Amino acid sequence: MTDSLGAREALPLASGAVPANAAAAATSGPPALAISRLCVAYKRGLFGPVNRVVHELSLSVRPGEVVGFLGPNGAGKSSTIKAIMGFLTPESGDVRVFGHEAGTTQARAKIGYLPEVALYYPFLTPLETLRLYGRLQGMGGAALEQEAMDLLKRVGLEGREKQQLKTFSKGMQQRLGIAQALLGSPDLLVLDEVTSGVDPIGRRRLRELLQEVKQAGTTIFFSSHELNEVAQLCDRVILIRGGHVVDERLMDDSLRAGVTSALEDYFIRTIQQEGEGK
Amino acid sequence: METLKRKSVVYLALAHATLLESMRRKDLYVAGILAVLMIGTAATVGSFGVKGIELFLKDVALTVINLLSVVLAVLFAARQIPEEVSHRTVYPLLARPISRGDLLFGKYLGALALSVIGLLIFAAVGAGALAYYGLTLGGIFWQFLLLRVLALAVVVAMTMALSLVMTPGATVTLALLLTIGSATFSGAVKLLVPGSSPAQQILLKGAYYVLPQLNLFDLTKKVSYGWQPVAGWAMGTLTVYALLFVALFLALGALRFRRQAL
Repeated sequence: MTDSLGAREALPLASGAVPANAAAAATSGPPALAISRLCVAYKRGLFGPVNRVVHELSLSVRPGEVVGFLGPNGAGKSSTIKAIMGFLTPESGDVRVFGHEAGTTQARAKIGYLPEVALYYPFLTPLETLRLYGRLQGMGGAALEQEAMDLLKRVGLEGREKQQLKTFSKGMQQRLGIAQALLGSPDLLVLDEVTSGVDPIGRRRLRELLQEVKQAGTTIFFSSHELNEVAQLCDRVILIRGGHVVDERLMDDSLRAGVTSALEDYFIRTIQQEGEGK
Repeated sequence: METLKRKSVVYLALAHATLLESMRRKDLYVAGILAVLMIGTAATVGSFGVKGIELFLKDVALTVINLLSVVLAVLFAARQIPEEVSHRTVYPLLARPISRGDLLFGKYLGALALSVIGLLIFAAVGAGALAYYGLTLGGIFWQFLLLRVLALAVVVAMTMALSLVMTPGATVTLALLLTIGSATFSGAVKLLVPGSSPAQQILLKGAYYVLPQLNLFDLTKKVSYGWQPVAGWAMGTLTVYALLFVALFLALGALRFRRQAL
């Protein structure tokens, strides 16, 4: 099928279809991430209006799979991710990480997380920051030092280990954010707007780094407005709007074609159709 | 045992980061500036001679140490958790396998360490200034310091618990009122209870026992008048009393923090 813009329309996700690397990594264990009928609502004050931002959202991510979580601003992506991390209590529904209830220390021990806008203690150095997160993760000693140095090198912050973060640009802070997310080799990476504020060179470096992580079999679940990143990294995309899933597709060559245009067209078309349908 | 060891590492890591961050942010410069003001005041008073006003000078020096250390502790404690949330530094912390209670306790230890450093700076300057004029404080001064540390432990815990239910401004105001007004409140309760109705008495006595009586930790008068050190059992009882309130406030804070959407 070819749409009006010339991009081939991707096939919807067939039931039971599994991306190649996910199939290789998947075992008989529980899904890396399983969300069932999640509802998230914010209430203003005790008697204030209730604003439901996530409605009956269900999705599943297999171990080893790389899933892009897409949607327009206000679609409920960050609220869903906060529910995965246990930063908020859902109104209803169930969120599980490798079978553990979201928000529990067992679930969080499996996750490496990059917040949408990550800020770190401005008067600490990158090395001190990674030491702090490493100790909270249960790491320590020479192994922590070695991994922290390796990660700083991998995200391009070598030589800046002893510079206070107050002097870092937003992009450099984001790279440190990736490093702290990767600390302890988590089984699931949850990245909220992964390349936000990163310059093109840093973006390419991050993409290469995430490709390495993907090759190592780590499950990645990430939201992004940068469809180029999504097209190059993902096995599957899930589109949400108005707090619920409107479509999901395996990333095949047709969606990757033209670097961004095919996926971008698919994204805009699906979101607009969903909007018109309401 | 393994869990306890792991928890200790978490608490120390959080406390260390809190301390390091505040030191580098030059938060303790405030303590330094206030200490210089203390020295300036002492020098001015001393230039007129101290003969006959020794008691007054000791009383003032110890009261200033008390007040400044409490103000500093309240200011440090009130911002710990609210700033973590508003600056979004809380997200990467709580993404780790630690509970919110762990985060609260680690930050508490950091804020308490800062407050104790502030207290020691004021105490060193105060005692130094008095020594300059030949005035000594005796062995009971060490007990005075120990009880101030215990009082600060309660004040920091109370302030952090309050900071989880109200704005930073309101937290500072209420914490200072409860801390500095503690002696006035106890005195008022003792005066009011005999003439009150049974219902009012229950309310007043209830408030008396629910709120920490921080004036119990103040040995200012005893130090000024050169009393003998306080009995060990009294110090022990006060330590238990302080630890109970610390545990109560931190438990209430953790309960509130656990339910808070971030």
